[in-house]
Amino acid sequence: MIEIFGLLSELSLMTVWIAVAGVIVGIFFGALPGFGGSASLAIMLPVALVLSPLNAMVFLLAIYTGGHYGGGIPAVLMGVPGDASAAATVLDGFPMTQKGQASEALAFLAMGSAVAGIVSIIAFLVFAPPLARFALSFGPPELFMLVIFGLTIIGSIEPANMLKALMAGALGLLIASVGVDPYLGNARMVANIPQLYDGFPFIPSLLGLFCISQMLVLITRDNLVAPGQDVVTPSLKRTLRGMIDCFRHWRAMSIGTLSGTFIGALPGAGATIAAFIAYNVSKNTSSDPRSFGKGNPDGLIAPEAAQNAIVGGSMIPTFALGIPGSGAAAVLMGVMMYMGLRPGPQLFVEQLPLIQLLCLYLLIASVAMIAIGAVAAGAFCRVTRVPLPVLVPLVVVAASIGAYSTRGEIFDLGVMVAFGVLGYLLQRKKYPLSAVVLGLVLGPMAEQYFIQSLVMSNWNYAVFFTRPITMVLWGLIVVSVIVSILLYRKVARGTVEQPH
Amino acid sequence: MLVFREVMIPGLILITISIYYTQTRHLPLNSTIFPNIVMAAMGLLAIAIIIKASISAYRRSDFAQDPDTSGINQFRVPMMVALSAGFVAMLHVTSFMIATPVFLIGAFLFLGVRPLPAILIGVCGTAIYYLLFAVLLGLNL
Repeated sequence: MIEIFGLLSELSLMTVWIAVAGVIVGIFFGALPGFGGSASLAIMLPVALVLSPLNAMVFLLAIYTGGHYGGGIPAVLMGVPGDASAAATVLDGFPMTQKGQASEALAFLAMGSAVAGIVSIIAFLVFAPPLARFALSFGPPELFMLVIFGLTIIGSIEPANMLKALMAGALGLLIASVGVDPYLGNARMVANIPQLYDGFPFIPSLLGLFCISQMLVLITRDNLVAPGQDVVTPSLKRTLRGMIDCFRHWRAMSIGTLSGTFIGALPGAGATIAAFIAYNVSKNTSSDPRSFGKGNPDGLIAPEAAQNAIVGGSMIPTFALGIPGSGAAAVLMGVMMYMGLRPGPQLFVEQLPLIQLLCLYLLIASVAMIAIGAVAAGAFCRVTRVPLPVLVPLVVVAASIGAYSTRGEIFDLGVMVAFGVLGYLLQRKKYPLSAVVLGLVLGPMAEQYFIQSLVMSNWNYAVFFTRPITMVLWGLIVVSVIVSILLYRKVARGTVEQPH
Repeated sequence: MLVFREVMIPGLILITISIYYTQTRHLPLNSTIFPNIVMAAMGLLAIAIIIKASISAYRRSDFAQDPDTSGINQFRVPMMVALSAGFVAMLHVTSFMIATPVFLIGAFLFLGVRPLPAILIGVCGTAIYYLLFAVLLGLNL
């Protein structure tokens, strides 16, 4: 049982400010068109790495939370989604603005996001501990199969590009295998470079894959300086009234929250899928489906709630099993490992108060998001119209500082640039970068569990097929592959709407 | 041409796994068993992607809206990579306070910012980064 009063006494004002700062930073980057949640997290790594582990996690998770909400602001006010998942928000959010209901739309956005975020964090607190307790009974073969399950479900990220998603995940695994092997200590693919004996440095690789590659994608746009566009100024009074009215749309909020939390808990599935599924479910179960796409508040609230419920949902497998629920969760998991915390069932045994405190700060961050959303949404929309020619070089320098600050090696900056080029090429050819990062994060664990399993069974591969839980996991892997193939065939036939 | 674009990544991956395998084949099997399994999977996936791309190119259906037609904008990418590589090299030879404004001003000018704002933002940006990361957060730049 969570001791609320004990936890409240542990609250630190500094960490509360860090949570609020994270929300503001997240909204800022989220509102920048082209900046995804993972890129926002990556760009702020230099700041996070100098904080304590708790403060760093609070800061990064608050950015993640604010980023989803921020992506909805330009979607509502200008019809330009901040990221792919906010594309669902445009469908009914922008028509509301066109009908003169921008204040109400922003209120629904803020309140829907915050409530869904709070419920998903409570869901994490309820479901993660028993899951972690169950996972404590897992041995290396089960843990290896769990990692493989997390990787195979990558295919569901983009059903139309399932082969590419799987290839990207495998590429991440191969990159992670560079360096000294965990069994005999032989160096693999290090090319006599001493810095590579520990493998490719994680933070510079991440910064290259998410930040540098995204900047390279952005500078290929035709109009680097976007043409001026008038932004509606929301009214504070109407926004506050809209926040209360939001609860009249409890059905859409519930659909969004449930689908976001559930989909977030599936390794590999992301906010874009959750937002579109919530939108479709809300539309199909509505008494007035024809009004969707024409400014129906339910069509705004359901996907927005789903996007923010992803945060708590994706924390369930990340913290309880050590399997990231999304690309951003993989970034967070990598940072935790860098700071000496190993996400997984053992974390709940060793660091339960830390996790509970983290959740408390996230609840505070969600409440702060309501306040910030009420007063500053319009201002964010204007501030974030920074011209790309100014933004791109500044981001490259910030990423370079982050890459250099981890070890003080110029080599790491080279790694960052190289991974930036790799990430750019992969993005251009529609290979999901989040799959590469999942592979990078899970690779060392997968190899360690694989070797441990074989050693404990005298190199008998039957160990992966004969234990009850591994059999269940095999079944789940087969089901996930079949579902991915069926989804792919539906997409190919055009019977399912593509999130992009 | 269209097929080449789609098979470029799997082709590069096949070359990479060939190099990886050649470089590690002298090692004991226990050291390379995991990457070998991953490479086998990658090889199969690469072949599957190449076959799929070839069939699609033959049908000409999947390439109706190929994204790689933005033409001259692609030129900015190698230039930006070269500028970034130059920035890294300059950081190695000089210092943050010299390399950063030079890179920022160069990149701003390359991306079309006018000279005066480029110089102002370049110098001010460097100062702000230094204050934030070196002075406030204590990073060794």
